[in-house]
Amino acid sequence: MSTPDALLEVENLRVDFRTDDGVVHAVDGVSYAIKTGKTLGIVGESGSGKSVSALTMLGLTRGKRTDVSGRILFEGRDLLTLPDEELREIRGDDIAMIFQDPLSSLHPFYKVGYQLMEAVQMHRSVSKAAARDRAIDLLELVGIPDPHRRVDAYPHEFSGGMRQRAMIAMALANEPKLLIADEPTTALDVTVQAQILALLEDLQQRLEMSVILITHDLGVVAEIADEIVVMYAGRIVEHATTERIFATPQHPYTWGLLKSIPRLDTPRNENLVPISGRPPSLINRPSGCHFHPRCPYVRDQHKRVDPRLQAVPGEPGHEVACLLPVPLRKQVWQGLKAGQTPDELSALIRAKPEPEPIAAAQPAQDAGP
Amino acid sequence: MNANGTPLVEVRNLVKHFPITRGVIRQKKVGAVKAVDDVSFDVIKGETLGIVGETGCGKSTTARLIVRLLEPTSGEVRFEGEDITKRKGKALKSLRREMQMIFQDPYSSLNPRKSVGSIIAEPYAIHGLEKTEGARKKRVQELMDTVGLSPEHYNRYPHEFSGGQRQRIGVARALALGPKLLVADEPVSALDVSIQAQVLNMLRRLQAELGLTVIFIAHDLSVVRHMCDRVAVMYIGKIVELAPGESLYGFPRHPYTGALLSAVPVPDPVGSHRKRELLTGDVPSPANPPSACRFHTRCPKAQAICSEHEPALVDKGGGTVAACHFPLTREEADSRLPAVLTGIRADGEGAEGAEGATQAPQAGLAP
Repeated sequence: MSTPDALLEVENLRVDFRTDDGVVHAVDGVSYAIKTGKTLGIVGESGSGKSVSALTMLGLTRGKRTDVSGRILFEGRDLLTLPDEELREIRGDDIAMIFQDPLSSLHPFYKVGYQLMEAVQMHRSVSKAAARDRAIDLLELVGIPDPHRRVDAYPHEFSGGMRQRAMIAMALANEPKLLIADEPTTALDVTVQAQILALLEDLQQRLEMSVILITHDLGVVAEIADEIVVMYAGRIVEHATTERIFATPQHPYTWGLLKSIPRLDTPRNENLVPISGRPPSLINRPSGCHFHPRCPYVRDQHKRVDPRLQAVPGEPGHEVACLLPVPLRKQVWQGLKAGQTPDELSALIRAKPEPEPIAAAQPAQDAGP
Repeated sequence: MNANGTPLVEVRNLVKHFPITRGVIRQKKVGAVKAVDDVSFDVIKGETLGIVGETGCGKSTTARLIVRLLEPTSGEVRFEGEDITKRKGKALKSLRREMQMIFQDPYSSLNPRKSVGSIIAEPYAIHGLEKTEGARKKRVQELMDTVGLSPEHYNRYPHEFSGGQRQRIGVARALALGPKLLVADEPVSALDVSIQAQVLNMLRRLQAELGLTVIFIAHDLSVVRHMCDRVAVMYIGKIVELAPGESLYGFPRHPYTGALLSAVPVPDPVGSHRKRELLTGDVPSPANPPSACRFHTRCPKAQAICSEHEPALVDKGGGTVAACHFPLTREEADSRLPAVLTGIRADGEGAEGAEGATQAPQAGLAP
């Protein structure tokens, strides 16, 4: 999948961690691309590989016990094969990252201003005074009141929202082309979350950045992402524009995510539809479709055959890795939207004869041992 | 305060100030964090009362005061008509059988060195109930079954369970003594999204089956709406609005409630496009709260009187009480709500309001 105007392309990325308990298949053949100035949302639960794929981009998973394969092309260069020194030049300059927990990502011992200046001076040969001015500008840019005074404050003197703003300021210090935000608002209150999201959107438009937003909150991605990738057990299970993910989701896991969260607009008395079971271990992944132990619509075949990410007919740009036949998927989602339970719908499916071979799918190659 | 039914818990003028001290040897009190400052409300038998608010608003402190994990500075908590804030010794111990708590973090609230069976049986040991081992084991296994754990896992240890299952263990332990009141402090916020629904559904089912009264604390407004009959909104130690769920989410009266609802991200790219009201700045420190109405520093509708006279909780009809000199009008409320909410209501009464709402009163934003 080569995208002409892509800023960054991830191709068939695999990340394995060798541990004493076995090999953790954290990311397993993931491909996506980000266009300039767009926002890609990566959604998934803990352990779905969403953060690891982003960390790998910046070389933060490199180590003796890590096996990485595939390609991550950024402006024509493969970040995976880049030597550490060259990667360090990109990191914090062209690609910057915001982490979930602002308190543990800021150094408690140094003033916020000093940490910002360090980010500037790392990549630009400017005087100390100029770097300090830049730090003040940055704090102002992210909406910290009284930046001339705050530049000399320590992280503990900032509130949670202000720390996250300081983190964003640091990430923006060198006007990166790509910003990776890993759960940037998870630790924050809703009102502060709304402020931070509005800030990110505004800055993105002004600086024409591309943004990768990693989150488990479908509400957050619905607000600001252009495209969404849904990850499960180290793989992409669905990829589409934000509108399509919410209007015509195709994967049972996506349905589960959409139906299991209480929303402000669903009837109060309706029971939520939970996804049964729990996320799988990435060491011993289930055979066939990794989602099959939790999928209400599972058939025998799905336990053996490994689904590949495939285009949804009639919906350009929408890809899904599911073995259910397309018309059936449509029918199930319509049923779910109308308030039918997965149990009712799976009974409906079971009533139909199981189709012959699943033409598009390939046999399982690397399902867990 | 004015809901129908018999109150199980009546909270009256509850205050909790944590002292701020200076000095190492001779500690001098130099101030106080006013975590809960003159809070009054009732919890009706059989209802779920939600308490929402941002970090540091005093919602967890209120819960801990009610179950007597903290001593109030002043004020009363009446349980079945009797003040429990002065109880000691045996009387306090017997109170523990009536009210139980579920904690936020299922990892730190279970003793890792005890088996699940003995964790759930601990309340019986403390209170000297179910004396024979067989009877105790049978009760524990019944409880495990009630909360959706397999009774065979009786001898396993907490680390062998996932987050959602651990939270179920916490619930089983809380239910062991057959309490009348269950206080749940952020019971799902530490869980994965796909697991949250399992625990929420279970809590709703148990409440219906056992006729429990529940105080449900959360910062997630969608979860609270789903779980609660009535909702109290707290801001820096005070209740600013208390209303039946439908009214609070349909027509918030306090500007702070409006701002909270406006900030909730809606998982629907079509239904969420509306101008949102952003509060500026951060929550002021509860050690030094703003004068009079504590929200006036961030309130888009604040006027001079708001910093001079503290508004009282006033009945706004339909069971809603709000503490505000200038409560939101219907149009202002609609402009703050996510489009999906006004959309639902637009079928009924407030159709005109929803129409012009999206652009109109954006003017009232904080500077």
